[in-house]
Amino acid sequence: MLLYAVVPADATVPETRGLVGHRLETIRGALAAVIVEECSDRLRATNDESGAFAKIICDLATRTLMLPIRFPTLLTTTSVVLAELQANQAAWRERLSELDGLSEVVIRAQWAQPDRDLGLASDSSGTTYLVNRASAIHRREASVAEITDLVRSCAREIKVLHSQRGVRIACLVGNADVPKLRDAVLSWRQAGGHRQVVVGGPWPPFSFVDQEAVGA
Amino acid sequence: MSDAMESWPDEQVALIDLIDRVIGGGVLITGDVVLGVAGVDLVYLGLRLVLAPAHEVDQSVALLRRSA
Amino acid sequence: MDETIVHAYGVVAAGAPNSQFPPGIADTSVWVFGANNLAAIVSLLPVEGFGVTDWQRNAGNVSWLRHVAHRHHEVLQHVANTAAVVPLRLPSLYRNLESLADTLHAANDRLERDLRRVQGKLEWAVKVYRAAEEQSSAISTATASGRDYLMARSRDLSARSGAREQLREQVREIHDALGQVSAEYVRNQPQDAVLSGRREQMLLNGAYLVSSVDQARFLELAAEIADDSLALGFWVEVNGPWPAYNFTGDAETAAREAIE
Repeated sequence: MLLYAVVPADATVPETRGLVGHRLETIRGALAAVIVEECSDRLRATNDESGAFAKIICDLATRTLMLPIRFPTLLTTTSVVLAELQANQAAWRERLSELDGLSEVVIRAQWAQPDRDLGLASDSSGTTYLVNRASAIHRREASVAEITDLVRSCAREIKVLHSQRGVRIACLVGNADVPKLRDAVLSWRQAGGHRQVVVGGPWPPFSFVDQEAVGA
Repeated sequence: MSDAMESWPDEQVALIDLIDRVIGGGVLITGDVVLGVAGVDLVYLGLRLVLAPAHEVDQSVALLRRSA
Repeated sequence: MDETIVHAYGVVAAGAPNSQFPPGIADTSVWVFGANNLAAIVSLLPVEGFGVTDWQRNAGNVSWLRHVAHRHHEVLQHVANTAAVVPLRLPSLYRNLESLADTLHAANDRLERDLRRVQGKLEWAVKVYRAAEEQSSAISTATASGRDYLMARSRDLSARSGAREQLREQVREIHDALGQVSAEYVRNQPQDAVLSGRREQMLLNGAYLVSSVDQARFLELAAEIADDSLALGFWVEVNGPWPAYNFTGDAETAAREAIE
C-alpha cells in the first residue's frame, strides 16, 4: 500500500480516490493514523505521478492536519503500518499539534545571471573562474541573509534548501500570515537585483515534519 | 533544470519546487528495502520498507517487502 | 530474462533528499536502496556486458572505462551537491541487493562515521606544477683551469640544491596555507606525466576537505596563491568540488602513502 500522510488518530478523511484509483483508507493507532491506498506491486514513479500525488496531498491538507509522507513509500500490510505507528505515533502526534495552523511556503530567488556553475565541478581552473565562483557564493549567502531577515517576523521556522541555481528557502508560516509574507517577498523583488522570485505554497509542511527544524 | 528557467511562468517553477518537496521531504520511514525492476527477478530481503526510486520517465517499478 | 548485477555509486544517510538523478552506467536508472539508517545509490546493470569478467576484460579499454567512470562520477557529483555521500571506488559490484544490504550492515559504523566526517564539506584538489624546466647554468667550458671548473660546478650544484629546497618550502607553504581554511587536508603522490597529461613536473598533489562556510574563502585564497605563484615559477591548478574520495573509507590508506 502507498502511504500518503500521518494524521491525528481521530481525523476525518474524505472519501477520495488515490493515485492508482483506489479509495483512500485510514489505519488508526491510539495516538495517530496513517492514510493509505491499496496499491498493486507496480507503481510508476515519474514526474507526472509525483505531481498527481502532490495534488492529492494538498487537497487532503485542506481537510485535516497532517504530516505528509515522502513519495513513494510503500508498506505491504496493515500490520506493518501499525508497527510503524506503534514506534512513532507519540512523536508524530506531538509534531502534529505543533504544526496546527501552519503551512510551508518556499521562496525561490534567482539572479539575472544564473550561477549554474555552482553545482558542478569544472575543468576550468583559472583564477577568474575561482574568483567568480567565490563571488557567486557570497551573493547566494547575502540573498539568504536578506530573505531570512525579511521573513523572520512571520516564519516560525526557516530551512535553507539546496538549490543548483539561486536560493531556495522553506518557511513554516501561520496560515493567516501567508499573504503578509508573500507581499513582503514580492516587494523585496521590486527592489531589484533578482531576475525571478517565486513564492510557492502554502503547502503541507514537507520540510518541517521533524521536531528539530535543523536540516541535515 | 533548463537554462531558460528564469523565463518560465511562476506557476511552473512553483510546481517544480512542490514536486521536489514531495520526493525530497516528508516523513521518512526507514528500514531495509527490496527493489525490483520490470523484467527482473524480485529479490526478497525480508525486512521492512521501501525508499523512493529516482525518477525516470517510463520506468515501471515493482516494490516489494515481506511483512515484519 | 535478463540477469542483472548491482552497481553501487555511493552511500548516503537514509534521510538524504531524493531527486531526479542523471542517467547511470549504460543509461540505466539510478535507484536509492535503503538499509536502515543508510542508503546506497545503485544501478542494476546487465550481467551481459557489465559482469565481473567484463570489468576484468575491459581493464585496459580506455573508452569503456571512460564511459563507466564518467557516469559513476556524474551520479556521485549530483548526490554530493545535496547530501553527504561516501563515494565508492570502481569497480563497485554486488551479486544482488541482499549482498549489498549485508555489506551496508556490516560496515554501518564506519559508513556513519565517514558520513559525519564529510557532512557539509566538499573536497577540492590543488595541483602545483613547475612552470619551466630548470635551466642548467651555463658553466663556461672556457674556464681557465680544471680547479676553476670544479669550483664553479660545486657552486652551481649547491645553488641548485638550495633552489630545490626553497621550491619544496614554497610548495609546503602553499599546501599549509590552503590547509588553514580546510577541515582536513592531505598530500598525495604527485602524478607522473602520463597520468597528469602535463609535461611539467607536478610538485604538489593536494586534497582539501572544505566546509561549506569556508568555500568562498578557500577559493579566494586559492586564486590569490595561483596569481602569486606565476611569478615564482609555478602553475597552480584548482579543481572541484568533488565527492570526498580522499577523506572516506579506504582513502585513509591511500593518503598515508603521501611523500614528505
